[in-house]
Amino acid sequence: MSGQRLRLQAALRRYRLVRDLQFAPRQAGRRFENADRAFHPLMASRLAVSSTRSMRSSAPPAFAAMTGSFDKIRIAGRNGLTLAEKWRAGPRAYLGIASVGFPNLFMITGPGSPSVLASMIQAIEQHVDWLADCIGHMRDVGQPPSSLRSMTRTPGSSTSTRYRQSRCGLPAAPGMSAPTYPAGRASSCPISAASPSMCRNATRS
Amino acid sequence: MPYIGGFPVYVQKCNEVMSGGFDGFVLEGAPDSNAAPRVRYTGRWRVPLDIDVISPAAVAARRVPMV
Repeated sequence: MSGQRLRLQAALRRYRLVRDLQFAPRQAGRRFENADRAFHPLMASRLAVSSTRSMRSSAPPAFAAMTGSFDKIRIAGRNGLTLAEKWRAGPRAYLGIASVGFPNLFMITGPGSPSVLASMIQAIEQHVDWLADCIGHMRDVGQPPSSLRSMTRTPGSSTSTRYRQSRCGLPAAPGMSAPTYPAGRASSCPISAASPSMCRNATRS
Repeated sequence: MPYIGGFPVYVQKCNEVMSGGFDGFVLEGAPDSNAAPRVRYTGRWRVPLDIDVISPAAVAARRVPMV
């Protein structure tokens, strides 16, 4: 048995594997209704791990490891919804950085990011760099950070909401004009190119 | 709920989101364009993947040992 396999088995024994349910529906045009979960086809597996040492009696054990630090702070979003209430059935985040309904809230190595499955120092550095660029971009376009809506919303809920097309070729939301990309930036999703059947977005193009 | 796809794949996806004008994010009142933002700090993360990462395609091709 190879050393790599031994290491993988050892890692699996240290953590509790949990399979999540109710992944984002695959109907065309509904991607943005579930923006928190619309990350990448790999997320379809929805395997979550949590350290048993981080379990709390008041929260689902499967999510305590990732959300415990957020649960300790009362983070209120739109309409007074708290992050703990929204994540009661499990964390939903976009890139592990933001969550729908919580504008101006950035998370560092939040749920959905590699976090503890990568080198934490590198993961934190990458998130901080990315967010610094995001805030810098907002400043460039003349918008203060307070104007960040954080995520897209349900199509048709607001005429001021803009939707962007997935780079995997997902069509724009109904009623929205197709966006344009700068020349040379419209590369396809590597998963879609390698195996279209495995790409959740490719099946809907 | 960590992302199990691997750190390089995740970084690549973050770069794609950013290059697309922060796909998925809505900047209220911002000009309606998908202009790529100016890269400041994430330049060092923009390196092509040169490793055989664990992906659904790799699993389908049985290039990843399953235990």
